[in-house]
Amino acid sequence: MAARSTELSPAQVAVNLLGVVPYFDIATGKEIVQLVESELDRDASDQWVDDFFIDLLVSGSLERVRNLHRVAAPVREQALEIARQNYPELAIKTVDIFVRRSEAELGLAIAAVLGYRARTVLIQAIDSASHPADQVKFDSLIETVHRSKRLGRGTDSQSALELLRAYGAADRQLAFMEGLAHWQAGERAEAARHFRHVLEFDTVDKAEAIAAHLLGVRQHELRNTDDALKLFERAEWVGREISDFRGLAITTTSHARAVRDLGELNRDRTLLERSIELFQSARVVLSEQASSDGLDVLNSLSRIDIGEAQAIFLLGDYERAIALGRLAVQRRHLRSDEEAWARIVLAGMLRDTNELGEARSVLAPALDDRDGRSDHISAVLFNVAASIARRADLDAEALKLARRSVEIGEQIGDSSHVAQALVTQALIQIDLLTWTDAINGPEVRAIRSMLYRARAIFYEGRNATGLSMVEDAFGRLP
Amino acid sequence: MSLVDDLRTANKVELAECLAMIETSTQRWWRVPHLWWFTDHTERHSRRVAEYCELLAAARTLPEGMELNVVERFMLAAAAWLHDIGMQAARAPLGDDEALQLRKQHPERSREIIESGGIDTGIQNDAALSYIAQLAQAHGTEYYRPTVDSLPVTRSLYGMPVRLRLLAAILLLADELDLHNERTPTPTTNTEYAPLTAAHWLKHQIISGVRLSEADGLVKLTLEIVRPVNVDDDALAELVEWITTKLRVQFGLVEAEISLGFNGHYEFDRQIEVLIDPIGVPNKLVSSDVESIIRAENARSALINHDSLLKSANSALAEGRSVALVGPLGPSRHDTTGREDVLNCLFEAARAAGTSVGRHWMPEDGVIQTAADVLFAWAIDLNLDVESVQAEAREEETRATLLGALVSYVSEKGVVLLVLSGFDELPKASREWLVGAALRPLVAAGAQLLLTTTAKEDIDGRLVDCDTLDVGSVAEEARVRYLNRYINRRSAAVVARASETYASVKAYALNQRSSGLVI
Repeated sequence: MAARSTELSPAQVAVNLLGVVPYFDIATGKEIVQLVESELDRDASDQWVDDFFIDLLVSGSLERVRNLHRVAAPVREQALEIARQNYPELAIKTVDIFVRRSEAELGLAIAAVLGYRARTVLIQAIDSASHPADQVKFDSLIETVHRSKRLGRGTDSQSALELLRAYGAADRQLAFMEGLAHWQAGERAEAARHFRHVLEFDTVDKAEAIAAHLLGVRQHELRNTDDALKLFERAEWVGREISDFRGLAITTTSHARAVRDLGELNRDRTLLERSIELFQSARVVLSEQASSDGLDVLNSLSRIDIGEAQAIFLLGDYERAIALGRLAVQRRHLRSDEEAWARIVLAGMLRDTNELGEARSVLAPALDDRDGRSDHISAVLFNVAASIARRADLDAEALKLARRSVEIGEQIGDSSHVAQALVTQALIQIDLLTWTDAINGPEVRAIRSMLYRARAIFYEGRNATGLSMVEDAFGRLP
Repeated sequence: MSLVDDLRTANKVELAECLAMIETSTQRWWRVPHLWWFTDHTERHSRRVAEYCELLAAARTLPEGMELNVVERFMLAAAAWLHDIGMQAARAPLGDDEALQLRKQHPERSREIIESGGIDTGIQNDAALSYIAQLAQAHGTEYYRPTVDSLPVTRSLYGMPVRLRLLAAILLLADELDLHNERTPTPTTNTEYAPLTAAHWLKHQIISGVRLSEADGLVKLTLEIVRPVNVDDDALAELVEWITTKLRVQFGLVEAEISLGFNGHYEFDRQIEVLIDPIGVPNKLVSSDVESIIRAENARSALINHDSLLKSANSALAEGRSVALVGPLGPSRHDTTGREDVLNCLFEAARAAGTSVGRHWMPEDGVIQTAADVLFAWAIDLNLDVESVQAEAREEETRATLLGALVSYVSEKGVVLLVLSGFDELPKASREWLVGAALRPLVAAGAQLLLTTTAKEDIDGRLVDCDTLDVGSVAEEARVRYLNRYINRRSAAVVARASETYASVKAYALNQRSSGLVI
């Protein structure tokens, strides 16, 4: 029997098992203590458990957290490791008691301490780490942290990672969550390294599909389109195998965008038409998604609409593209991010067709909505708004918007965006130069400095389009 | 044989007669106790304390010549009978402040009454009477050290050596041991007690017996507790903690005199045994207010030191300002300076005083919370309607909803304390939002903040009307004093030298406390 095989007393075993779980109420604690008694084949009377629990409370071995308890810090730190090493089966049974009770009163009490989502992440991470073979549990955790990100809680993936680590999760689970945490923090190069490790396991599950998809997105960013396309195909295959239609639709949308960008780069109409087919296929796949997550479906549809509109625009059918863009913007109940993105793309198309008034009107609600926010979409929004203002000869406004865009990029550490926004700002400042500005005057030197920095970032990111934008800007200097 | 018999056998008849007179005078003194709501301090209590003095002195088989001689027993008994006479009010009723003052100063009043002959003792020996008066004064914890330090270690009285400091130590402990329910009659249904009084009454009412025994060369104390049906596990644990901590502190306080007086042959086991006997009836003194008082007392005694910090924090809070306690956390969020204990102490004190308090708790290591989680914890504690807060809502929507609800509540309530544990454990974006958008309107509406943080720069000058207080380290003497509750002073000094941080002292104490756990 596991508990007997160690030199620890049953009391110490009980304390260590209580230390396996982060919090417990008294009923849960007593059920866990009862586990030790059952293992010892003793007649575990309720009175005995009650008495032992009182002794525990009186001995100061437990800390109070609101109306919950946890094992006092110095013991808690070692308890989990000792339990996992010496009596792993009891440790897992303890987690199972915790998870089961968290579905009722215990869960509500933990939510009062941590908040709803942090509570869910905590419970699912502990459950997943304790049952590494149970794919459904890890899938649920992935879904939770993904959704957290969409709800503006990007740090939940970091929490999940820390908890998985603390609870001794399997290597692949850790690699995946580390990748996701880096990805959500905008550290895409580091994320890619971990996703590659996940793909080495060649397992057909949600983690594989997401790792392949996000790695594909990264490769697409790096202009490694061939790799990107292979990764998207792999993710799509896994998505079909596990019937994850929403994930499949999202991957197919990314796939379509990559094909569209390749078509744009190579001026290849066939690829652009292929990308439209893929967007339409993504729309069909999405319709197979269960309607329980209606809002996510709507948002995904908006992304498909806007991506397809861009492809149509590149094929030269401006009217149809803009109509589809308008449709995407008008979809109701979109999340702020999705709506802003749709507005950005539509405004960009309107700018390129010289419909500057409508372009500015399209962006106005998003600019109001995101005033003071610092995230990637806001950064892009201000950049596009700056370029439209520049085209409308509103130089002062354009400069203000461009500076804000650079500022947000710096705040969120998105160097790729910073480079884009610096080019926009440089172009605006070039427009503002007068013939009297000397070649080595302070204004010109400031512009050069911006462009040098943008060039270095684009070079590091192997962004050929970005580099040509920089060269074009240099060419406009007096 | 009784003390009176022993005095007669030892040809100390006049002392036996003095003792009889002291008993009679004390009974007369307490014929009408004017402060009826206090725990029993009458002659019944005095008799039990005198008995505990005898029990304590006999609790251990001491080497030949070490046990108390008959004059020492007389001095101790006389002081035991008289020690609380200063608690009798000259008139009734007294106002709350006067009663509090009387409670605080009663050891000194007892001495003055005895010395001035305000009570008949029959003692003709002025020196003996003066020492009895000083022994009586020393029973008050606040008076003990200065009084004992002014007493000679030994003095010859009635032809025998009298270890005065040892007697003072025994009397203090004997008074402490008169815990049980005879000191507090069961309240009638019509009686209402202030929560602090009720807490003291409850403490005595649950103790049905106190036993002393010898085990492993130590004197062991066993408390027998009757558990009313309406005391839950947590409340019971808090009550026991309250009682046993006080006893352990007192063991530490008198250790030097006991050790010196008995030449190192007498030591108390710091593991106090507690036997609990559930009873099927409720106790009407049990209430959430009483439990709050007890938790506040325990939170205060959990601190190793920080007296001056507490004073500064309390005065800032009393003047309506906010307080940020700044101290580093160790690995795994270890409280290396005691800042979380100080926070807890202030939090429990505020709750016990009836202040509306919303508290955020330091999460499990690894869990990263957001600003919305902090507001949620506050809202839940303040009983705000959080039905509209959904797990599937966006962070900024949740923040806006909760902030609106909290600002309205604070505006309406006036004084609300919002407690945040580990401000800089939150992500930067959440900290920025809290400082920039949330805390200012809450403070403007009337809230006071109480938070802990590591990074002073996140707070300094950015919060309105906030005192930033450094928690600081723990002095060695304070570490020794704290550890002395759990181990003898010599060992405490060794451990304190090796355990410099607050967390390491706490960890050692916990290890000592939990070592008696059995299954």
